[in-house]
Amino acid sequence: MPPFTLHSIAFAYPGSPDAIPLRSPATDQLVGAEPEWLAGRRSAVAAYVRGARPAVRVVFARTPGSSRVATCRIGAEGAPGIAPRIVTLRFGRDGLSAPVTFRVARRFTRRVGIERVEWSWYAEAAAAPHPLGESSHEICLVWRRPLAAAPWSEPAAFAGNERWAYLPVMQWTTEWAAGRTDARSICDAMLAALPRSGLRYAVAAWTVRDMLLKGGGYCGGWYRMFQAMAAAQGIRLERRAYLVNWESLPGDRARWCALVVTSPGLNRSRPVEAASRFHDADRRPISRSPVQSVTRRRYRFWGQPGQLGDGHCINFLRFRGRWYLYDASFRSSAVALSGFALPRSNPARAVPIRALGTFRRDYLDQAVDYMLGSLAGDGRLYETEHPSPDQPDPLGQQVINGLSVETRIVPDGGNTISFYWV
Amino acid sequence: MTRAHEHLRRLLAGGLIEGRRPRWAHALALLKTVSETRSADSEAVLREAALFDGRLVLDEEAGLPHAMAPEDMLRSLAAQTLARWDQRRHRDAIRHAAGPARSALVGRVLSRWT
Repeated sequence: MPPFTLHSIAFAYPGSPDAIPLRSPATDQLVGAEPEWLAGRRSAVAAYVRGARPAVRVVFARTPGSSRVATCRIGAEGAPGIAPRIVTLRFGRDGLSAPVTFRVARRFTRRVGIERVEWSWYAEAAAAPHPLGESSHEICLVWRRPLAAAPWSEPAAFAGNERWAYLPVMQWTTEWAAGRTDARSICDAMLAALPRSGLRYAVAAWTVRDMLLKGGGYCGGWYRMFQAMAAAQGIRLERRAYLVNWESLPGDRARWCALVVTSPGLNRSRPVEAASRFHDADRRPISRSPVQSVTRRRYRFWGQPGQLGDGHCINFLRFRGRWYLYDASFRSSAVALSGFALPRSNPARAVPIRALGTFRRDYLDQAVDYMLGSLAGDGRLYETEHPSPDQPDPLGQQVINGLSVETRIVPDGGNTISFYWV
Repeated sequence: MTRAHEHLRRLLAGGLIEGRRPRWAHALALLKTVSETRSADSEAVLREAALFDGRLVLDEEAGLPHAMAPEDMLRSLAAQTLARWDQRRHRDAIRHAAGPARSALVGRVLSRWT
């Protein structure tokens, strides 16, 4: 029987210069708060930048009856293995050695992806080598060092530990980005693979952690989530919300009251929102368009008169001089924009979409099916009315939708569609 | 105090309104009605909304806001009205709604007043 055996291996130990701290969404505690590998009990994921040659800290357990001090050469076979070194182990009363630092024998691959390594530990003293045990590990090798979590992890911040990722986010993104070699191809791969996360649209969550715990979120959570996913691979994404600009016009008219989206959203087969009565206009001029009234499940992103209310949230990547739009809630591929400059966050001035290059043609007309307003169509005014609190049984009343105009037929001229970008 | 004020207070208290869970559209209607006319009662209830720290009990099936949580949207809309009426007087409530412990999106929406 060997005089000692393998007890535990720590990857993201305090002060490790290489390991990427991972956090469990369930507890919000660091995965590396205890050794990632504990003999017979635990084998948790570790993460590094691809091509790293990290150190790990190993604790050994003395076999009862054997010496309290042992000097020998210890290493591990594997691909890559652990570089052997001569150490003197002094076992405490609990039978455990102090942690010993070992370095991986050679660099991990420079390819992004998940590596599964098996280490066969051995010790060599004067006699022949004897085995200390086997350990197996899942190692995420990311594209670049993760970015600080603060932009997406608000409002919670973890002082002194700025760069970290949630464990499932790290596992998903490293698997999805496997073999990719630049920021755009990684983001494209992540967007296409999002359904594999199992997360859905229209779950009542708006933060990354809440989304992981509840299984999805609304777009205000999704643009954070996609930003967190990119940040886990060291990629900086911008995020913006474009909010409905509800302008009241003469004659009880209003332009616009809500965005209307027919897509069910990620991992949904139909919109979650209850059906309501819509009055659709699909021809120009809008005021003379035939109106088709239908009862449908559609998402409505409500504005509020003269205020900044709801809107949609998306991400942007600047890559080789061009902006790419990522809508994690509703689309599975990126949109390359031309003539577009990312609007600065400005809650005081709405930006007409004609000032945004191909944003409308290549994205908005497909993503937002209808713009809902209080407008005339087919010879009458279709007015949006929220249930008045002074009506009898106000909670039994539905919102009356105004005219839902197909976004693609809204005229380009003037400020016909504008959004607040924040 | 109108019915809208009363219902908005009940919403903030986490209670049912007329025996039902209110829909998000009703919360918007209440905010819109209360914000239409400036009065001491309206300012008081909107301050309560901007300073709200609880959770709203809503009928989620009927739709929720997409860009931010209903509680954040409620604070944001209340604070925008208070800012329009008397920014100096309600600075504490506006700052509370926009505070760093809350949604960054609300912080950006209210940034012109904080």
